Amino acid sequence: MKVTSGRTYLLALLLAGLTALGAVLALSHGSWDIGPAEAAEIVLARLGISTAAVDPVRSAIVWDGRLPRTLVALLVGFSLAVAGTIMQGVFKNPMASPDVIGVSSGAALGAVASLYLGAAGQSLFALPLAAVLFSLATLAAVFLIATGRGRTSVPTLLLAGIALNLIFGALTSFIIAMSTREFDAGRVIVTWLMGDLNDRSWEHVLIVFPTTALALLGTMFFVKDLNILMIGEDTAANLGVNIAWARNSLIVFAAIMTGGAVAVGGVIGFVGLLAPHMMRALAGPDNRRLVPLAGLLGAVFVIYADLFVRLLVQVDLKVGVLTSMLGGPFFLVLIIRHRKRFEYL
Amino acid sequence: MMRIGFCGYLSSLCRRFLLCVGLVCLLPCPAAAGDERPGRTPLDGRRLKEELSLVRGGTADGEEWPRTIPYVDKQYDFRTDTFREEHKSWFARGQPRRVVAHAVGVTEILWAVCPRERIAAFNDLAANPKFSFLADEIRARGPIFRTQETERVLGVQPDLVFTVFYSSLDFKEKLRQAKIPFFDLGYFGTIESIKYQTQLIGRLIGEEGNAAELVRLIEQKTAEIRGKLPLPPRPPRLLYYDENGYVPGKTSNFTSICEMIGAVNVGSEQGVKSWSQIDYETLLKWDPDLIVVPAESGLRERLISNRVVSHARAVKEGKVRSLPGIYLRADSQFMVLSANELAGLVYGGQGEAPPGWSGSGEALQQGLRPGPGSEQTARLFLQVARSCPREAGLPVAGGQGTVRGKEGRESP
Repeated sequence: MKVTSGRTYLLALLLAGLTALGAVLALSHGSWDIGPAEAAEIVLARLGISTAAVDPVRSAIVWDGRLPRTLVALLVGFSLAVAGTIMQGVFKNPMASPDVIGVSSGAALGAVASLYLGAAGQSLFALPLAAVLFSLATLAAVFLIATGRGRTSVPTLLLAGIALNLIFGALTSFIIAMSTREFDAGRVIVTWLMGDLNDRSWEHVLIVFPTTALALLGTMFFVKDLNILMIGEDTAANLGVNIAWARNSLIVFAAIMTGGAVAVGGVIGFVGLLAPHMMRALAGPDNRRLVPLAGLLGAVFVIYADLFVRLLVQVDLKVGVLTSMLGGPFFLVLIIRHRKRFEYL
Repeated sequence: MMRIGFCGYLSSLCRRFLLCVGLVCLLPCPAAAGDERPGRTPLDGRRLKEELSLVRGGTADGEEWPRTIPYVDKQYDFRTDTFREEHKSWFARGQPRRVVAHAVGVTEILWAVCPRERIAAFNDLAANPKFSFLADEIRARGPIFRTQETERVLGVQPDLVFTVFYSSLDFKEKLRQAKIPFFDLGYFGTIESIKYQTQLIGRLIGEEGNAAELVRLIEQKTAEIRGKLPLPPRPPRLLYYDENGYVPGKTSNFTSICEMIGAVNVGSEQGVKSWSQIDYETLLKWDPDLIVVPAESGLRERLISNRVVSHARAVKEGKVRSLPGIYLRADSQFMVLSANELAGLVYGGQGEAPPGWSGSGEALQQGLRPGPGSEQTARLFLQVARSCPREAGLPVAGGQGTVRGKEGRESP
């Protein structure tokens, strides 16, 4: 499939527009009647661009409540989608997703443990920190297992990831089982595992923004190598790509993004699997385009999912549940309709 | 060479990182900031608990055994938010001598009205200080069985088991097979329903006098608490907010506790039925007079420092208070204790107590580990988590006692 630059720009423009529209809608929706114009005025005033006088309460609602939540949704969606794109490229496996090497289940275990032990109640940073630490520890463990005599085996890496996924899944289930006797902890854990962006604050933005920005920069540095890696390792080696360095770095970046996203948003499924697939079908397999575009699509997906969840406040739907409910069937349709398109992977 | 160097470095880095993570995990969690001094309460909490733990109202004045006990089985269906009432009757051949309760609230009622030697075993939740006001006493007495340990229940050979809606079908089926009679108790969400259930339990175990005395004591103590409350120009509006942002609504125990002290549950006022999650923005919109949070959860500090919630009146006036979750879960006579503690938080505050107040904050003295939610929420969670289907309204039969007849109706 030949994808022109014009099409790429059009897609980028469309996604950027959808993101902006989603952000405006998210900023102007809530239990307080604050419209888009007032929300924009507040944001501009807080940024120092406008000198209009704003009500401090309404300003706090938009600036400290709605805006951080929207930014967290954007960054979480972006991170998961980029991480999924990297994983699918590195492992040349269309079913690969950010959790394929156990990083997100490691992050989930860390978060659940911090909730169960009560640390999450003591500090806002305890849960994200535990999630990031556990995700990085999982990454380290996977690499330790897969590295022998100075070389990292990709099949071993994947198998170790599967095994750790199972172990961490079982440990998480064990904690949930124990927490059913600690009703309150159990409820908090179950809610968190369903993916929740309720009441996210600037502190959460502070956690997820650096992981997203740094890992994205790193990924873009290796994005050409990722393209070559997808052709084949022999070709990549012949073209002078340091395969181990590029591949391992990309996996580390994907893991950092996943850990950061899971730390602030909980387990939000299908974004990392669906966004790269959809965008690959539209923008082609070139990762220089695919990585940012898939990221934007992921951001759009999570922003609108969160907006929908907020509209259905009485139903107590969680954003992670919604993304999986929508993503699963959509993904199936996509697979059935575009079977041949996936063959180039 | 470069590849080996990188991988070797990576491997070493991984080992060091895992070591650091291990050390971090071993660090203990910081203790909660105990910045709340014990408040004052209308009645002395410790004494009130003692009074509610043992009542004797003379000899039973009920009819002879065997007896048929008519009752109203009221159940709350959280899925449809409806109450269902059925008129039933229970046939008992003789006075139960070995009674077991499958729920904390029922155990607490039994502890007060039933001769202790007739309580054959205790559920482990009733021995857990997070859930039971009688944990120490029950642990000292025993035997204790876990919720799923049906065999231990069978082992004590009870002649009546009190089950509740979240008691699993498996548990009930095993009781049925062992020909042990069990009685499914209904709704415990309000003080009125608790009084009704207390009297029903009294008739079922042949201790009507004690049950009537407990109900009288509940009414007397509630009246005493209310009599000591100042008369504010309007009822104070209270919001209970848990770590997950959930607030209790109309059918929760919190509404009943608020009503006992002349306060308004803001969740109920705003149309929340059972429990609902709200964000900080909504909390600010509802703007309660006082926010109650689970003690030791750290939520109080988080709310106070939150840039959105800091604009709420309760935060500005320093009225974000902690209360151990056990008080919010109370679904027995100890709901009076909860009302006493909550009255302390609402009307007593941290300063001078209103005239005639004799108590001190039992909750804060005890330092009980907190938790949000109510017994009802806990039940719902347990029910969902264990995929345990409800058995509301099923005719129960087996052993000595039998449910007869039903005349159902539904009310929204």
